[in-house]
Amino acid sequence: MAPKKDAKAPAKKAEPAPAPAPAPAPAAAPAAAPAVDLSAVKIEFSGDQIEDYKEAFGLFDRVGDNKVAYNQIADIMRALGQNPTNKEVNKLLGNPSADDMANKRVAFEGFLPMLQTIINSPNKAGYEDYVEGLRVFDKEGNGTVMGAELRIVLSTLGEKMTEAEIDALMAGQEDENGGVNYEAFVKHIMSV
Amino acid sequence: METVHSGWDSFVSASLSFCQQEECSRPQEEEDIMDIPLDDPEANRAAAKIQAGFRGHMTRKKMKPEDKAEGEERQEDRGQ
Repeated sequence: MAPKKDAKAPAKKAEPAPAPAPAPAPAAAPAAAPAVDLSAVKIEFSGDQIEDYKEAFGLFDRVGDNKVAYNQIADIMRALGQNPTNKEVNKLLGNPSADDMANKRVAFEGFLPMLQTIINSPNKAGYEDYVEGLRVFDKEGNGTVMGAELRIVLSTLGEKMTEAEIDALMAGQEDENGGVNYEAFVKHIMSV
Repeated sequence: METVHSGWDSFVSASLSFCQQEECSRPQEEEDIMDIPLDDPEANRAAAKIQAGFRGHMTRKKMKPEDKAEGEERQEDRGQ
């Protein structure tokens, strides 16, 4: 089951729905600024939520300085129930270099507005979006896509996935013919 | 969700009509790799969204069995 520390909007409903108060569109930063203006992001989490996030954040601090490395930020957000693209995270971090990613660190207070921005992000994919996207490859219209084809798409389009990532993702999902029932697959994806 | 849907529509139509758009003289049933819209920004944006969902799932799944060791567990697995 998803950990209780899922990042949610203040109403604590099932979905991390777009926040009621429109944040000053942090994602649409002015052209001059390379990064998002995180200081302008209004934090709308409850005290309990912040405590949960702080706990999750702490688990990722392997140095003991109450900070985490840039290259851990995406994973912490994922641990908290979000699905940021790497591009979104890079934007929040001010488009860091590879060196920055490994060596720069951010404190919890700096992390919160980043998380808030991702939660506020309006166009999140849901069950139907995933299913529709995968249905494109269902040539026979029988509810399955070829695992091999899916692997090619995942490794050549978008934010390309590595073979290791794809193997982990597809483990146990292909039937004896190498097909994937994509509706079941998406349900499985969304259950965690 | 509108942006995701428009991205998907583009992804779908780009995937299905790729062969017709290019000077591809092969039949549609030819090697599926010809159908992949590698340069279509909308298709790529839509793919990135799916991949983001997959990566989120995998991180959460990886964290489930352990409670304390997640941070260390992922030390060697530094990709985002």
